Order: sequence, then C-alpha cells, then structure tokens
Amino acid sequence: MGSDTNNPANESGSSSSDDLSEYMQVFLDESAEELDSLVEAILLLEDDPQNADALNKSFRMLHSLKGSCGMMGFEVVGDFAHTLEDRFENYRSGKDLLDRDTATLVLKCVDYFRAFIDRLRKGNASEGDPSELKQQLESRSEKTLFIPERLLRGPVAVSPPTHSIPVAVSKPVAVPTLSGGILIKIKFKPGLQLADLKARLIVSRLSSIGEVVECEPKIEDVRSFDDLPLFSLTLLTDRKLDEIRKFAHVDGVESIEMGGQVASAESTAPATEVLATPVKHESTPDTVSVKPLKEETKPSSDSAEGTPQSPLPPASISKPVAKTTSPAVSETADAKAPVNETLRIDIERLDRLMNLTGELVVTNARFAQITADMSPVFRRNSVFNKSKDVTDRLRQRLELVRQHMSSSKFAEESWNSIFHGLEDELEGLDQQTAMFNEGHRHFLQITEAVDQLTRVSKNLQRGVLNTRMVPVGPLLNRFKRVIRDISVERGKRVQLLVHGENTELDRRMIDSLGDPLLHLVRNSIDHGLESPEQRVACGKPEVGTISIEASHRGNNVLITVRDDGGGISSEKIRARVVSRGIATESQVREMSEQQIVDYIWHPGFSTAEQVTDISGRGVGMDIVRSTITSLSGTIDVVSIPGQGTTFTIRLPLTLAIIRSLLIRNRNGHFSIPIDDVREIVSISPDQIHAVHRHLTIDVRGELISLVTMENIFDWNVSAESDLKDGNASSRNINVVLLYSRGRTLGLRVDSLVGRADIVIKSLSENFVAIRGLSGASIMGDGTVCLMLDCASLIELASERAVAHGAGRR
Amino acid sequence: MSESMAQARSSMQFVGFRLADQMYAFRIEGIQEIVIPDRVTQMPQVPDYVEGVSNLRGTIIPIINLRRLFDLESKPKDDETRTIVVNVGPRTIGCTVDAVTQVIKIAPESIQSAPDIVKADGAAYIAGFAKLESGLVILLDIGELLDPAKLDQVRELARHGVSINPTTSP
Repeated sequence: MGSDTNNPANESGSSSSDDLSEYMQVFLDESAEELDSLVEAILLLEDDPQNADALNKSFRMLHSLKGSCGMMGFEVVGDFAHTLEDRFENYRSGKDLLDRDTATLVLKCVDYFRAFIDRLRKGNASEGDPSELKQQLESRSEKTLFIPERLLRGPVAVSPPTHSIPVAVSKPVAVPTLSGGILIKIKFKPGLQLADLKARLIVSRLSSIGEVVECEPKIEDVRSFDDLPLFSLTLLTDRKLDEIRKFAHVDGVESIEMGGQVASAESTAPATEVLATPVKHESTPDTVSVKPLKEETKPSSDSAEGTPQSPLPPASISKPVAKTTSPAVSETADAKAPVNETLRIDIERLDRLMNLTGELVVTNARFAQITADMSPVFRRNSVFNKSKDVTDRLRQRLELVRQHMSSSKFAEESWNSIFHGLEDELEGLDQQTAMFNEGHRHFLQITEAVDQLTRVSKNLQRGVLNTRMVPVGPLLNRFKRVIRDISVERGKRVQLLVHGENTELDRRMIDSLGDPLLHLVRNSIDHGLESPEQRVACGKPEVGTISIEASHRGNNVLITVRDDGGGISSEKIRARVVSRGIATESQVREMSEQQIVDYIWHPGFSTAEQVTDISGRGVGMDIVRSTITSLSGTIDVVSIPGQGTTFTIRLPLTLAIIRSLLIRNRNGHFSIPIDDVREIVSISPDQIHAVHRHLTIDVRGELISLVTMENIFDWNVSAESDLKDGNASSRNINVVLLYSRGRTLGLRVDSLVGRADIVIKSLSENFVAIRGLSGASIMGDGTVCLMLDCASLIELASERAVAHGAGRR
Repeated sequence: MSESMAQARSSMQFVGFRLADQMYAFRIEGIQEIVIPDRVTQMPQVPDYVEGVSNLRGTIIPIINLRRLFDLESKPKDDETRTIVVNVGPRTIGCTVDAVTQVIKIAPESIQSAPDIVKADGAAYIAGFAKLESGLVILLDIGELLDPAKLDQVRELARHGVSINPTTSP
C-alpha cells in the first residue's frame, strides 16, 4: 500500500498520487500559515533582533517548512529552507544578529516560498530556482561557527548563553522538562495503514516544537514497516507535556506514553533533585547547565533505544499514564487536545450548507405559520364540542319523537325503519367527532414537533454560522508587511498598531475585506501621514501611527483604520469638487465640513497632487465604499485637520441572516434591518409640521423629515391604492426612524408587525438591483417581503427633496 | 435564433399562449415550467409591466406582465391566467399570459421569418410567424424578449412599432 506514497524522493509533485494529494492540501495550507507567522516574527525581529520568542518561532517555522517540503518531495525548496534554518540557528544561538538588510533578504526568500506555494496551488510543481537568493544569503553569512552537533541545538536554544534572561526563567512551568529529552512512545492502532507516514507526520509536528533527537525505529528506515505498532522517539523541548501530547496526537494514534526526562533519569537523580535542578539552573551561570547536557543526552538516547522501560518517570511528572497505558486513561488525558483540532473545509461547501440551513429556517417558519393558522380550527371548546352538542341534542329530540310515536301506535314498522336510519346517521356523526378528536390530538403533537423543529433548526443555523466565523487577526496582520514595504518606498516612518485580532467575522467577508482595507491603509500612508520632517515641524512624533482596530458592537463588527496624519484637506476637496464640475462654487460654500469630506466617496475623485502607483488614481474610494456596501456594511470617515483621519467600517456579523423589523404598508410587507432602526415613535398629528411642503416631525425637539413609502418610491401599481386613511388624521401614526451614515429619516408605516430573522436573497440574481431595496426574503406564509436599504433610501429622500425644491424655484 | 430554427430538420415544439386575441408561442426548450399565478409582491421603482416578485419554491423571481409589456389593455386575473417560468441566461423569470393553449409542433418550413420591416425596427424578439389552422402564431424569442436589459426596448417597440400590433393583424 505504502510503497508508492512513502518514498518522497520519487514524488516529483506533478505526478502526486491521490494519497499524497490529500496531504498536499494540508501542506499548502499549513505552509501558507507558517510563512505568515514567519513574516510576523521577522518583522518583530527587525525592531528587536534579540527577541527570543520571535527567534524561536521563526526557527521553528523554517524547520517545519523544511520538514514538510522534504516529506512532500520538494528537495530544492526543502534544501533552501534548510539554508535559511541554518542561518536562523545562528541568530537563535546568539552568534549573529539579524540586521535590517538581511531581514529584507529573508522577506524576499519568503516571497520565493510563497510564489512556490501559489504555483503549487495552481498545479504547477516547478520548484523555481532559489540559487541566487541562496548565494546572497551565503554572501551575507560571514564565516559562522556552525556546530554540526545536532544534540547541542535544543538545549542551546532553550537557554541562549549570551542572553541575559534565559527563556526558561520566564516560563517556570516548563522547567521540569527542560533539563533533558522526553521519551515519547507512540502506539498506533493495530493494522493502521500508512503508519509510516503517520510516524513521519508526528516527527515533523514534534520538530516544530523542539528537536527530535532519536527515533526508534529510525525514521529513515520507517518506510519498510507496513505495520508499525510502536514508535518511540526522544524529544528535546521546552513545551509542557500536555502540549507535546497535542502535537504527537494524530489520527490513528492509540496511546501516547511519555517517559520523563531521559537525561535526568540517567543521572539517577531523585525526584526532589529534579525539581531542584531548575532552581539551580536559574542561579548558576548558563555554561553549567549547557555543558553536562552535552554529555548526558547522548547516553540517554542509547538507553531509549535499548531499554525503553528503564527510565522511570520522575515524580515531578507524576503521570501514571506512562505506566498503565490503559486506553481509557490516555483518552481522558487527551480530552483537552481536540480543542484546537481543526478541519479544513472548502468554503463553497459551507456556503451551500448555509443556504440550505437558511431554506430550512424559512420552511420551518412556514410550518410554524401553518400550525398557527390551524389552531383556531382545532381549539377544543369550539368545533369539537359544538359538533358533540349537536349530536347530543339530535339524539334527545329523536328520543322524544320515539316516545310520541310509540303511544300513537301508528304505522310502527315504517317509523322504526326511519329511526334506525337516523340512529345510524347519528352513529356516523359520533365517529366523525371521534376522528376529529383524534385529529386534534395529532395536531397538538404536530405543534409540539414544530416547536422542537424550530429549536433544532435555530441551533443548527447558529452552528453552521459559527463554522464560518474566523478571527480577523490574520487579515489585519497581513498589513504589517504592506506597511513596511510602502513606508520604505515612500520614505515615511510608520508603525502599525493592531487591536482586536480575535474579533470574529464571516469568512466570506474577511475574504472581501482585504482589498478595501489595503486601499485605506495605503491611502493613509500616501495621503494621510506627512513626511518625517513635516511631522517633526508640527510637533508630532517622527514615526506616524496607523492603527487598525476590530471590535464587536451589538450585531455588528466595527473595523476602524486610523492615522495620526494631517487629516483630509477640505479646501483641496472644495477646489477639486468645483474644478471637476461635481458641484458649483455656491453649493460648495453652503456645505458643512462633513459634507465636503464625504466627497471623497464620489466616483472619479482624487485629491492626490501627484499620482503614485499606490493610490491616487481616483478610482479607489468609491470602490472601497461599493465593496463595503456589497457586504451590507457602511463606511464613514471622520477627519480632524492636523490630527488625523479615521475610517470606520461597520459590518453585519454575517451576510446570511439579518435581524430585522417587519412592517406593513398598503403595498405589502417590508423588512428593515434592526441595525438601521434608531427608534420607533408614535406621533400625533400636531407633531407633524409642513416646512415648504416637506413633512417634518418633531421628536423631542429634533426635527426629522418624514416620508411615506408612497412618496419616496415610484409605485406604478399604486393606482388601485385606496385613500381610506386620509381621514384618520386624529389618530397617532407610527414612524420608524431610520438611521444611516449619520442621517436620520422618518418613515411612516401603516403597522408594525414585529421582529424576524431574515434570510436575505438577492433581487438582481433573477432580475435587476433596485435602488432603495437591498433584497427580498420569503416569509412564513410563502409571500415575498422586500427589504429596505436604509442608506440608499435616505439618499433617495434627500434627492427627491432637492428635485422637489428645484422644481418649485 | 431564427437561423437555428431554419436549420433544424424535424419539427420544433412550441408552447402556445394567448394574449388578447393573438396567439403567441415560446420554444419549449426555454420554458422551465408553467404555474398558476401565486401571490405577487409589488415592487417599487420598476416599470408598470413588472408585476412584482414571487416565490417559486424558495427562489425569488420577477413577474413580467406580457399584456402590459406589449402595451395592451390590462385584464384582471382569472382561472385561465398562467405564469410561464422561463430561463433567460442564468436568470429565472416569470411572465403572465391570458392562457396557455397547447404545445404546438411546427415544421421548420412552415415558419416564416419576420418581415424585414420588423427586423429593421430592432424587434429581434420576434423570431418568426407560423400559420396554423387556428390562425397566425407569433413565435417569440425568450432571450430577446425577457432579458431585463431589453425589456424597456421591447416595450417601446410594442408601443410605437406598427408591424405586429395584434389588433391590426389578427
């Protein structure tokens, strides 16, 4: 089975077998993630070349990249990763410091890896030629004291001798595992296929958290084992046992046994002394802790090979699991592990699932509606009892007639037959009543089942929704690199602050947000932030700050992009608006600052005096806005001259379901997203004022213009609408205050129906998009309900007001 | 489409329907289904020939009133009124007609291409004419007729074009 898959050297990638292509997806995704973390670590190192965490991290990433490339058979790439890894080994051990130029070079190397991964995704397995980069790298590395002793690496990395604070001290919890390797024995499920590949996978995973110094059987020979029941290795790491377990636990592993520190056990130190060692380690010079390790780890690996049982777990680890290895116990020990287990799923599949769930919810609502409609029919005291009464009364009357007849003795036989017939009929009626009763019982069951279905489908919907939610962190962190590149290019000094990386958002939105955010960030660097000289002259810090922040606000996610630059120049915008003929000089004069600033969203508008390749083509901001709008979000800008500009993007948590307010008008039902509803007010007629024929309402002193569905929209079919409420002037009217982009509009509605979660469907899918409507949904009774798009509704209203005003002039 | 019709050898199937007193027909391939009109939700900001939107088993489709599209006098719905659901590219669109009569088989040779004057008008939605025992049938090209981008043009032609006014050439 394994012979064609487990010889990576024979796999050129292009001819990868099915088994391998399964791993290929994992390889691609994991490598992409590793490269992202690598970039992050390198950027950290640029500012703080001695950051031990970042050094370890970048080393680990390169190491694991090397490992996985090797496993997939990409030798050139793997070899190149190895070169880089060696280089980082020097940084990590403190022999060398990562300088800025080299960091730039390393980032270029990352680009090479990325290009390779991208090519692979497209099915092109060419590994490219990294020799030039490799040469550059090597020319940078002056003669380095590379120590080939593999065993030295782990411990050295853990406590770099040149660093004043060893990592170990900052993580006291990890100390017990520090002083030596951990013997890990992995038992595979009997008859597990591809166990050899699993073993490699485990080695590769463990390599990402430490150094695998010894394997039994040797990983190179593992290929020849088709059945590999037991596999043991020794790991040098600073991680906690739980964590190691998590990394070692892959599918097919039956149990994991973790022996204690082989090295310490070998020195026959009693448990108390093992505990004492770290304390010593802290106080004694580093050389002491490094030296003995060099000697001790070696025999330890021998012992691991020969007598794996001999090193007794020291008391400090106190894991009976190691001895007993009963599956139940290891099961509970692993109970924590699945928390971080993930499964990669094609987003298309999730989309389909989401749509189906949406349909389910809609169908469910329909069921609920039908049962609600049926309930009056089945109400016990009405129909059922009535029919029973009728039969009872009939029977009494019949009895009366019978008594009268029997006394008269007139044509008894013929009367009898009539009575029998009547009685039969009554019997039938009784049966009907019983059946009806039965139906009533079933109906109650249906009602109950529908309730249950409602609960389940709601939960299902929530569950499916959650599968699509991912943190925005990776998206925001992507900009670190972008900012670094652009600021270098533009000669500006910029720092990026990112907050709220754990805020979760629908994956679809994350995908579409990249470009708009990138544009905003570029814009901020290009137009927002001043040059260092200008900044100093203004009394600002030389380094400009761009902060991206994500946070939850109710049913929304807010993303703000803020810079501390010069703000948007309203004078420039005014001039541009006039020169482009977008508005006249006099119109511009009357506008507020905010109105002026809002012109940046106007298509074809750009204030950049010099068109750069980054921004300034004047196609950006309106596209940014339309992208956000297509995500059912809004974007606003606030600019304070001299202090900076803030863009606020408001997005719904998910595109799939919109919480909304249902209203009814003469033209039918409409839904309004709850987030756009500021307030619902009941207004008495004397609170309505006509200002130049525009209706205006007074809400606690605030004047808000009032529109109706009839005068804001063109209804071609409104000819049949009745005017019956024309005389209802004495009654209060319901007004929904819509709020969007800082503006409020009152919408008169005939009646408020209630709240509903709505699965929104596009109108343009089968027809055309309609201004003022964001889509439609199917209601419980199967009719279509239109959803109002408040932002464009408010725009429509003000345009109508302007047109109306112009017409009167 | 008329070209492909002319090339087809065997007789082609059409679904015939009636508007006012005129018979029309769509090619059967373009028709998804024929349904009894469901509740239609009115839509704002659309021309009067768009009745609104309707729910077709979970899909929201627009409903075009062919009478109004052809600028004919409107008529209340009755038992015979049907909605023909057609596919126009990726879109699913419904259109209401007075009645769906029958499936008609027409041999290609009995199809007359539209008169040049009609074509010159740009009325590409008329694919041809066929004379049957029951009278003249106007064959319509679904894609040209009901494409949302072309509806306005169709309406304009129907309103001002003289060539195919059914009241003048029954």
